[in-house]
Amino acid sequence: MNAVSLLFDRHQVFLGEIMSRDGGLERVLLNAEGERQVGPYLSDWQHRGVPIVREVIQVTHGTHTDVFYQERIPVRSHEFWTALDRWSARHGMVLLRLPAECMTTWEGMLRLPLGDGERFSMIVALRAADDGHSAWHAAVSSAIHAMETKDPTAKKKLLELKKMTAGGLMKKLQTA
Amino acid sequence: MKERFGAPQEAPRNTVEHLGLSPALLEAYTKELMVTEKGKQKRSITLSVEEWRTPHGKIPPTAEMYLVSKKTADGYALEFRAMHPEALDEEDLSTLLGDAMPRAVGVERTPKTQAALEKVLLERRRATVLREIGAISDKGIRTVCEHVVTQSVDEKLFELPVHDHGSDMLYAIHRALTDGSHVALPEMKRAIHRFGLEWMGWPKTEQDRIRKHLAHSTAHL
Repeated sequence: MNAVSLLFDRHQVFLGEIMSRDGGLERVLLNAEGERQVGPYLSDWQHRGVPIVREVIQVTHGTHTDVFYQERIPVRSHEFWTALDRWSARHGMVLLRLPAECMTTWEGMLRLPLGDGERFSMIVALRAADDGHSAWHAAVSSAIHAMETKDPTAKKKLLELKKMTAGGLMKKLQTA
Repeated sequence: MKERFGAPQEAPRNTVEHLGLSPALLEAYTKELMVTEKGKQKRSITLSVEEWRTPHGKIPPTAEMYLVSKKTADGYALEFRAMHPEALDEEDLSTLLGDAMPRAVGVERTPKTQAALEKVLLERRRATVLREIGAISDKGIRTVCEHVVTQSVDEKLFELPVHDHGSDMLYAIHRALTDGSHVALPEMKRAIHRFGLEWMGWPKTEQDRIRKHLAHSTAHL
């Protein structure tokens, strides 16, 4: 099964998209900032794999001891996405899996005049919407259209999107 | 073969210094790991670097480093073993300290532990870069490079007004400090080496000019 994940750094700056199939790496698309922060690691992953920590329990003379060792997960392994998720967390980054039907909405969000934090909050709120993806898609498309046609309602539509974001985040907090 | 930017040659083998880590900053990190939500020190952690022993049992024979966690009366005793401790890069240490250690002592990472870990890794990176700069023969050029290290650590915007001999080396030093990847550090080493070779071929007048130019172009940092 194909999946798309969005990668953000600790300041909520968007770095790129990672496409995986059945957990293994399919494709990586990094923007300029993503190339700077993640690019150097990419070639290492392709050669050696993504570092991950495994835990085993050793029993010696009746005593249980926890042992942790590093293993490298090949990019084509079904464990790649999990390893990448843990690598991201260790480096202060966030990996957000996005349903396929939300990709167009996300691409629309990239075209709107939003700050990094605003865009990040918006995608978090979108992911939390159980059945409101179509409402988000409509709202984003409407805001883009207003912006591109220099419609006077463009600012209002952007504000409505930000209200949707606030509502979505509140709902996520309440259900967490 | 993996390039080695390891610990000082003079540090005894089975020590955290041999891994290139500051004992003081590492202690601050382990203390942060064991602080409760109310700010109290829950337990203590001791990390020791032990002689390599071939893994056995459930640990795969290909494992080149592992951490053994033992509970003690007042906390945890962690024993770290690596086949080539001096060859561990920042990513390996990030995995050990940032992933294995918290799990070994049963705690979750927090922004505070992340910040403390970054201090440990950044100091190692700084010490590694300074060690490479120490090999530059000219005192004036060495001083300029050390100045770039100080400013890069402060994360100021790094830009040289005019590109000239030595500029590539300074940019490589800045990148090595802000990006601890296995790519940036070897690139810096190559840039320093290239500059050193070119330096030997320049006449004294050109050396004097370049020295003054680099000092002037980094004075604003």
